[in-house]
Amino acid sequence: MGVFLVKRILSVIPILLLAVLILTGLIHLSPVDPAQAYLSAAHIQPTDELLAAKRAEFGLDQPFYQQYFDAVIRLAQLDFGTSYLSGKPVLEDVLLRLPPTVELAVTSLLLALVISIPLGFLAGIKKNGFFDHLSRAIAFIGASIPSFWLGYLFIFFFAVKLDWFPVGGTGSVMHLILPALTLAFPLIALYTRLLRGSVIEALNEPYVLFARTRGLKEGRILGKHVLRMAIPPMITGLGMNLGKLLTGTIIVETVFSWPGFGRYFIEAIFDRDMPVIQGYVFLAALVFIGSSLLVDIIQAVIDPRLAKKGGTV
Amino acid sequence: MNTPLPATMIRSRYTPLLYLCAFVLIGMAGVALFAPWIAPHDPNLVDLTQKLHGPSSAYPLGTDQLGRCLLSRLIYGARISLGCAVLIFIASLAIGLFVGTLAGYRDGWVDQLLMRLCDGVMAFPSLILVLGLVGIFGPGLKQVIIALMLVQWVYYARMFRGMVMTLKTEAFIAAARVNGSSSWKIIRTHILPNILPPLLVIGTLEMGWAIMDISAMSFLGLGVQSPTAEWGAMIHEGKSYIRTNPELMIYPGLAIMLVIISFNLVGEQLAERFGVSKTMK
Repeated sequence: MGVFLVKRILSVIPILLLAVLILTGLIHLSPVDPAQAYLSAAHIQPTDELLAAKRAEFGLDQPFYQQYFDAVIRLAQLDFGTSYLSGKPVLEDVLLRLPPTVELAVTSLLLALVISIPLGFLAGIKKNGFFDHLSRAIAFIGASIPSFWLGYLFIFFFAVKLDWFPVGGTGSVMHLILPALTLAFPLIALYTRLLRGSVIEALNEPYVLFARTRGLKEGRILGKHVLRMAIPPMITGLGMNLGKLLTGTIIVETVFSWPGFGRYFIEAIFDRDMPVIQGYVFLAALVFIGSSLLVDIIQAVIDPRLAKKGGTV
Repeated sequence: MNTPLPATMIRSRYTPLLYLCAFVLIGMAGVALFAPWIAPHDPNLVDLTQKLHGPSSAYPLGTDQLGRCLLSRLIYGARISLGCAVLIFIASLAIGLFVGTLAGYRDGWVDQLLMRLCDGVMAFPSLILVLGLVGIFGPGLKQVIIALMLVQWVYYARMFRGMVMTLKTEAFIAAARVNGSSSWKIIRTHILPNILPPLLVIGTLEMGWAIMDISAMSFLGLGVQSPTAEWGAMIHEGKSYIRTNPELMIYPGLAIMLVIISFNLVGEQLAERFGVSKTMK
């Protein structure tokens, strides 16, 4: 177990180094000159001397390997530089914008679990029953509906027509419900199908048959044997989809004017605020890689056989 | 390769839906191809005297905030969404096929280098990398398409690499070679039939993703720029009129959902038919 953990944690390092290489490589190849972008974001008239000074400050006159090396050192310390627009360290801005996004993401994750666990379980124990058909319909709509459109549909029906919820913004629990539901919808679709699949699989296992022949009560079989075996694949799904959740927050925050991390990123793209863009993309990769690491560790704890096999990744 | 399900089983349960979806997709492709002949108006013709009108015989779905024909804009929007999705699919497929086959055949450092590159790209959530690329290279449809290609080829490369590596060791390939079959004949009669079914499935699903991603980028204001008619951009423009004219954002969203649902259903049916796993992402 210990060896597995150490190996798995160390395996993240080369991937992160590669990710930084790709990120710095792309910025290097970009036709946009960061020095120019900085001056225009700061509303400073660019002159040749100023541009040259800024280039030297950003290290753009250095050879590429040097730039890459510097980027690795900086990012390892979570130093993303200074925002062109606000003039403050990017990390400071990020920490300010992160709590609303985490609030939104956690709420929708909980919402997704609360809805999809019973739905997926009921769909799995009775194949082709009512819940199975319902879960199939939700799965198809969830995979096919653009979340930005779903958000506006919610706004239209529940905020404009029925006036149950505010149209956007933050402040109360009521503000949180529509965006969280929008963000949760594709996850509900996914987790329901996932749980349904593993419940069906677990029902076919020999130990379930054995439990039945022993005359155990159906409720006990389902709770103790089936559900317990059906949960680990769901944890994998959860971890695998944190990237999707993160992407979702960008769109949902834009739709509902939610003052979070995702909107900050979109604003930065419009302003060509390179340090913020770079910082966000790097942090997203960190969350993405970190979550798959976490999933592997949790699974190894739940099911030690996996650690012996070397994990899922 | 898994054995395909018995054809009768599929026919009995799914066919009408499959035909309906295929019909929707062919219809949409027709609409996209023949947009100039089908559309009742110029999609970009501004007529402020006609703005925000309801449906009429001249404007079957009404007009938008600039008096442009909503139906015509939807019809022209199909061109961009479907056209770009096809483009992204073909380009990322071509890159992925090239890189994947190369990596699969030439193991050693070539394989290592290419696969580490894939790992690096896959370290990012795909849409966030696309957004990052658009941030670095600037907004615009061209940049969005390039960014989506640069992110998507990785999945094909890995898929083809895996296939080539498995097929390389198959006895029937060696047997064909011993028989004196030419490389072209081996590819045509042995490799292609094995690669085609999963490719068809993934290609179908990929189209759905591409349309979703393009419309999301346009919705965020980073893809198609005004006044070009595109479904995501139409939702972006129509959202300000949600209180008075919700149809401005409802119709384009319906169009996106209809196309994506059709691609997903056809993809799912094909996956079931050929016994292919459809988990690429």
